[in-house]
Amino acid sequence: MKLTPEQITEIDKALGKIGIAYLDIRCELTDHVATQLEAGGGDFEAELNRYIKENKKSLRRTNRKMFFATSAGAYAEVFKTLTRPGFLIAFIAFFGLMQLLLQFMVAENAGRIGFFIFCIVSLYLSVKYLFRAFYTRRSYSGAVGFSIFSLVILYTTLYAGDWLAESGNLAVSVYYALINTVTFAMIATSEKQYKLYKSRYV
Amino acid sequence: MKNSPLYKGSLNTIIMKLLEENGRMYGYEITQKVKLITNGELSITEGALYPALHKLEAEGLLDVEVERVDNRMRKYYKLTENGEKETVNRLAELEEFIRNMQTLVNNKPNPDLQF
Repeated sequence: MKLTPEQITEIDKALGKIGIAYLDIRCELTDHVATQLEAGGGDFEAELNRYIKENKKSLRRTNRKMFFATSAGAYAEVFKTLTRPGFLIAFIAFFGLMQLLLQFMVAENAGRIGFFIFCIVSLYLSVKYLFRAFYTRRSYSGAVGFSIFSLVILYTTLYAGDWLAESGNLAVSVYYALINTVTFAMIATSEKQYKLYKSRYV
Repeated sequence: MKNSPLYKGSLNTIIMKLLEENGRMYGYEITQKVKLITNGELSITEGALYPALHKLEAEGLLDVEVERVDNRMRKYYKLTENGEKETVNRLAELEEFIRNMQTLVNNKPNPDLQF
């Protein structure tokens, strides 16, 4: 038997209910469950309920594993993006900006400006990701917001900022140029991945 | 998948071999193909298959095509150029492993060679 569009929607909703939030993972698992139910035959409602009940835990585990595998790939993509010539230029530009600021102010204050730029860019990245996830309901496992990495940078900077300022002008310039370039690379990667996934799942 | 590390370690190679033979496949199709080839001896669960497919995709060994089939989206996987080269390497590695294991398992102790 072939499932109707309504029955496919029902599978999708059932998977959403048990926590399969990312659209790409849900689409793939919906197809898997639908093909299995089609092959098995029987009463659709009863078979779907039985499948979800029996496989709820393993489906959640699969979802987690799929997410980690894909987001690891997305993080690797950030490092690939960083090797592009445009990002070397961005690093030099940020480094130059920090050096310029250090001509007019002490390292602590220049560091604060570098940190402020990082916060604004990270906030943009996070808000855009959250908007897509909650408003458009289009959230893909491979187009993550890199919030964990941003948080690591944030806390490292908060705790090491003073120590960094004491380490000298060169350390301040390199550090803030680096974190801002990485954050821009995360934005570029997130956008690229989002476009790729959106074109796949129209 | 049989709950043995021996099988789990070979899952990626099995997937790549099947894709090499069949061009492009989707998840459920891979599980059924494995079941068919092994006469039901080996069955890959979705919990093992899909994370492995996503990992291979993230490593750039698999390419993806998504199509609308029977009222739903279906994700097909196929080997990339790198994936094709890697399949040859991994199969050679697996064959060598099997050969060595067979030699070890079938080895009859020779008293002359004992230390």
